[in-house]
Amino acid sequence: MVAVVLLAVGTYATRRVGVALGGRVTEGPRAERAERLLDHAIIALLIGVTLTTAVDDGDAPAGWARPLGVACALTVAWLRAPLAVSVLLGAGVTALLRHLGL
Amino acid sequence: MHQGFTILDMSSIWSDVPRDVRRGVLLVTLAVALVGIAYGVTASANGFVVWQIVLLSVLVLAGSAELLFVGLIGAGANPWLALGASILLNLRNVVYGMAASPLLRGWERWFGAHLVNDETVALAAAPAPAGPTAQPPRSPEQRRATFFLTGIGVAVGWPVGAVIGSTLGQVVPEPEVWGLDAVLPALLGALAVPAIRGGSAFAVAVLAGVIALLAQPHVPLGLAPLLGLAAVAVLLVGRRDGGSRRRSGAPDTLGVTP
Repeated sequence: MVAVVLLAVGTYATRRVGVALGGRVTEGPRAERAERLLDHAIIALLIGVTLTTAVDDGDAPAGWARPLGVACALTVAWLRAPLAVSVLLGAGVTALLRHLGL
Repeated sequence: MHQGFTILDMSSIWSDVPRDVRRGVLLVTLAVALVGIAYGVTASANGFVVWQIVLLSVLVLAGSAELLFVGLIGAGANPWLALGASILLNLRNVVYGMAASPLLRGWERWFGAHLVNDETVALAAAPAPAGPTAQPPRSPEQRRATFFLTGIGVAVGWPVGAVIGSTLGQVVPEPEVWGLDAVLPALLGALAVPAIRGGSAFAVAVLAGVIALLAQPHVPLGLAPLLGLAAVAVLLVGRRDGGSRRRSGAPDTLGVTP
């Protein structure tokens, strides 16, 4: 229970620190440059989280089904499929492949 | 409007969110609820009771970290170890918080910070899609409204999903059968894709992805995406070489290879 509360406090702290730090760098003469950097940092993180959780989320052993399902989702997203289609396809392909025993 | 202690004006938030983005927010809310179901099922299978699951989902409000936390505890890990690993996974929120910072003013920073996560930042703070279908750049007001609307969607969708999942836990013991574990990576990936069509953003995404995947087996869970941030630094060095070309107004080209 103590760990639960600490997790909540710690998580909030990471966010609040970010917001506080961001307020410093996104104001003033270097704001534009800082925002471009942050744009790229967001992309790097989102893609990093996507790919690493596709192969291993620390819970269930991943196997091949989830990475392949997520790869399908990314492919159709790249082909400008709507968000819902990408997400449902990702889950659907993963479920199907598991069903087939992959 | 007085900046003091007014509650968020919901109707102005709703009308400030561009029409095409509203659908995205709704889908994100539904997808987050689906992941929440998976989390609720996993958590109850790992011995957490409903009120603990819901408390975690409301107070922490960080999907992947909670899944990791309940997973590790369920696997018999020391709670302190689970705590450290989950905080590590959440360190990326520092960067997300920085990106969301310009959207939050004054007192909003205190509770707005709680809404900082992958989804809100991807929809509200990520660069607008590039390419032929590029929409006009969004105004700060629109981005702020998108941030709060998505944040509220996630803050509602996630705990609701968790409640459903934790009560369904006995009925559907394995969310993996439905592919629910693929929803989170598929959602985040699909949210990021429109932003990486531009040249330099694409280079960052590819490089960050490669670094994260290569690092993943060798570092504690959650650290690999942070290492992927090195891609931004690499690109920055590359851009310095190609700086003169960019300043002359040439289209955005890959800055990585000098």
